[in-house]
Amino acid sequence: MDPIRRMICPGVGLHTVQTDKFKSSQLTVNLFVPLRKETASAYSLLTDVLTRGTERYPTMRDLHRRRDELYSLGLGAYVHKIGESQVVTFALLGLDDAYAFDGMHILEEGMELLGQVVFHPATEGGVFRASYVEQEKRNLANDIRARIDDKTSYAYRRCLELMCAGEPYAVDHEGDLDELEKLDAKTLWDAYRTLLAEARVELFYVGSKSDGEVFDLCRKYLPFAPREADFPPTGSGRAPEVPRVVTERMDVTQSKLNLGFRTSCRLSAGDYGKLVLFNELFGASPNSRLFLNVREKQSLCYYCSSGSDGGLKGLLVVHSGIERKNRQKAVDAILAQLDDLRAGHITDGELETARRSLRDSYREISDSPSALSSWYLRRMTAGVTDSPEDVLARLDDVTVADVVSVANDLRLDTVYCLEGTEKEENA
Amino acid sequence: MSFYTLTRFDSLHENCFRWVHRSGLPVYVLPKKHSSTYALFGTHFGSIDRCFRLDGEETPVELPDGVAHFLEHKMFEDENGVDAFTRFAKTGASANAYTGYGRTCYLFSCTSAFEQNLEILLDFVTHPYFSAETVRKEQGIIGEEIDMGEDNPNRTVFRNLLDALYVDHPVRRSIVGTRETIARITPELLYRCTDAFYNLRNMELVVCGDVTPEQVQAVCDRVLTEVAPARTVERVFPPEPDTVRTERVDAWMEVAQNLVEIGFKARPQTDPVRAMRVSAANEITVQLLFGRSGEFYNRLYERGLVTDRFGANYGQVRNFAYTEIDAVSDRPDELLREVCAEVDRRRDTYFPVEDFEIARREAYANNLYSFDSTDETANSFMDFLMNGVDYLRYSELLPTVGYEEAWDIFRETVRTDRCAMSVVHPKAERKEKEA
Repeated sequence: MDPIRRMICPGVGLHTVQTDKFKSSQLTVNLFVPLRKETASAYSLLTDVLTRGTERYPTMRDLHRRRDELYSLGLGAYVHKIGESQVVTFALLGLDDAYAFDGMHILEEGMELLGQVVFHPATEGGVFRASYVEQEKRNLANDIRARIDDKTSYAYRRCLELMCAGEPYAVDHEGDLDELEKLDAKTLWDAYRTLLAEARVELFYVGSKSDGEVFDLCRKYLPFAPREADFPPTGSGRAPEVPRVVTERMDVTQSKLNLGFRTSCRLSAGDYGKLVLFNELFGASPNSRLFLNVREKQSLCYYCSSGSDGGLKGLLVVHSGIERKNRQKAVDAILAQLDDLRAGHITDGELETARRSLRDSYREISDSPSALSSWYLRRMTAGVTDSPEDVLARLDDVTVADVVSVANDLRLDTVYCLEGTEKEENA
Repeated sequence: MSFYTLTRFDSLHENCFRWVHRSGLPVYVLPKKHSSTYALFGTHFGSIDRCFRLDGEETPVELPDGVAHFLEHKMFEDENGVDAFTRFAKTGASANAYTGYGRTCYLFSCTSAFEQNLEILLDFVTHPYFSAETVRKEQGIIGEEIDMGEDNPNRTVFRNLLDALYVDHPVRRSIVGTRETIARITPELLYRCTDAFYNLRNMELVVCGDVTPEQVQAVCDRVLTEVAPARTVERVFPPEPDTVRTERVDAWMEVAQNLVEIGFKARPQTDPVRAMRVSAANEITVQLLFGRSGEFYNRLYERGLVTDRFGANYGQVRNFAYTEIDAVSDRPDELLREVCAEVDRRRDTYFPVEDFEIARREAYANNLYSFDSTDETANSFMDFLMNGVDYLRYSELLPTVGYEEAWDIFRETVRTDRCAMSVVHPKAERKEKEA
């Protein structure tokens, strides 16, 4: 299941995974640009405006109707963050040609439509249609405001934002209200031209077609010009001498406690596996220290788990949902688990359990086109190309001492708590 | 002669092995050449089953809200205090469980040691153990889960819709219950439920992945050694009128914009085959009326009445059914008027045949996408099984739904005199009004 990799032209690469496992095929077009406050909102808004209409399918309805004709073709655009890159992704998901009952070439027709969306947007006076831009600005502004609806992810975002203040990582890849307000059809058009010309481009295909067929289709429908563009680098920050503590209030029942740590472990280094194993053992699985002790045994949190940013920036965040009165107890309990690992109190059995659980999740990657795509894209930005199987093989070499060294390397940077109001106070 | 029946669905490139294990458990194996195998073990017991008679007892058992979900949590622990998660940890599988209105399901997904994992799953779900102490501890944990759910506006807006649509049906009630209702749960009560509903004849096992029926059968033989007793469970439901309880429910929470759900109460289908056709027809019609390529959605989007957070679907869970539209809108009343006007208009003026055919093709394709993962295949299969319907047959049937048939079914299931709306408003809005 390893992908075949080739360059379409300088700065534009293609990965192909040929497989008959799925009834669908998926192609993503990923444009990598540095994550910056001045440009993030424009690129975020672009994904909404480009999917409003094209030259040939000028309204959203025309576009959707065409997608329906193509057997409910999935065609979406969104932005996400990989390290300190903002990635603009166009994703195509089509039924495999074998299931078309009228002999339609779904992938080819779909790529033609994708090419329309990326290269031939609906315009007026040489720029985007002003009505589309204005409406999508309003919608995006509403989406940005609506982030408070989900308290768990809101608290997580806030923690990272505070922790990385001053670093590109703190920039919101979906945009912010002030920058959004400045945009109009002309400035957005300029951002679009810059994006197409300058971004590092990576295409990723999973489906039944061969590498050669996909290569030819990409050349025909996605005519990216050659460019000198590498993946934007991701910097490293330092934890403050004394961890920052921030509390914010909201009228919610459950408080959200987040602890942000920094580590020096990086995906680009050969020993990245030790961070993965540490994280699994510490808080990433239902057999982890945090789950078994802080949640189950001590009943201090409804949920309590840890997640790393995948070794790009070197961040690791513990997030939990707690009762406000348990806040200090929960912080102490989480840090006590870390201290225990630092002291080397880890059995071989525990390590083996963590390894097994990782083995299962790594093997499942080949069952999901989007998991495959995100696996390889993340690695590319760090300059590594190893497959899930390669990483698994190396996990066997990670020892208790390695895990202890990661625990000792971890620095607490920020404690963020979104505090709710206690029941009694409401009454 | 083999112990199973093999059904081939050539147009879908899918097969299904099915049989009833000698213990009484119905088993389904859906082969798929993936790395991961997914197993789902479910019972026809959900939050709506709150009143029942076991083996003809005179007085029915009445359950406080949240028992099915509570039971799901407690099922994981055995008499030695060992958590099933700990057993799965030894194999590397990821395990989970969920409780819905009409069912409770336990599951695992793994890439190795399939037999060992299936053995753990079948074993822990068929060996309930509850004590006063473990029940008390769980009351604290679930209390927190209930609090967290209260902060979730998407859940609130949906629950309030069901609360508006239904007069007496227990779907009005919360799946997880409240701190007060779960405080009334005792070990005895839980054992009554397992006696009634965790009987293998009332359960289903669905496995999807690179496994053979023989592998599954061997594990069943090893773990399920006793034949399940034949018991009669009579579920008691209050009569439910066709009309809605109230046309409108409002709530105020920490949200940025109004969350809106509009629902149309439908009569549930009692015959599984008919239920399957009604679902298929509605899946197509809902796309025609409210889909992204429809005139309606685009007109409202241009006017700024809806955003891209807009969706519509039809659902039937055992004995209740409804069509639901969810949206984000700053003018909910105007949206409601538009939706109702559209529904009324389509009773007399349906869609052009070409549009219908495209919508049907879309529904067919959407169903096929769900076969790409073992997880989705097994879950969709279980969804339909819980309504007595075969998902593979349903997927084959979708492209055969007729134009007139779909129109008739639409007129029968979506009626503006059985409509209600639920809105969650931003808290700030109320403060402004009061000021």
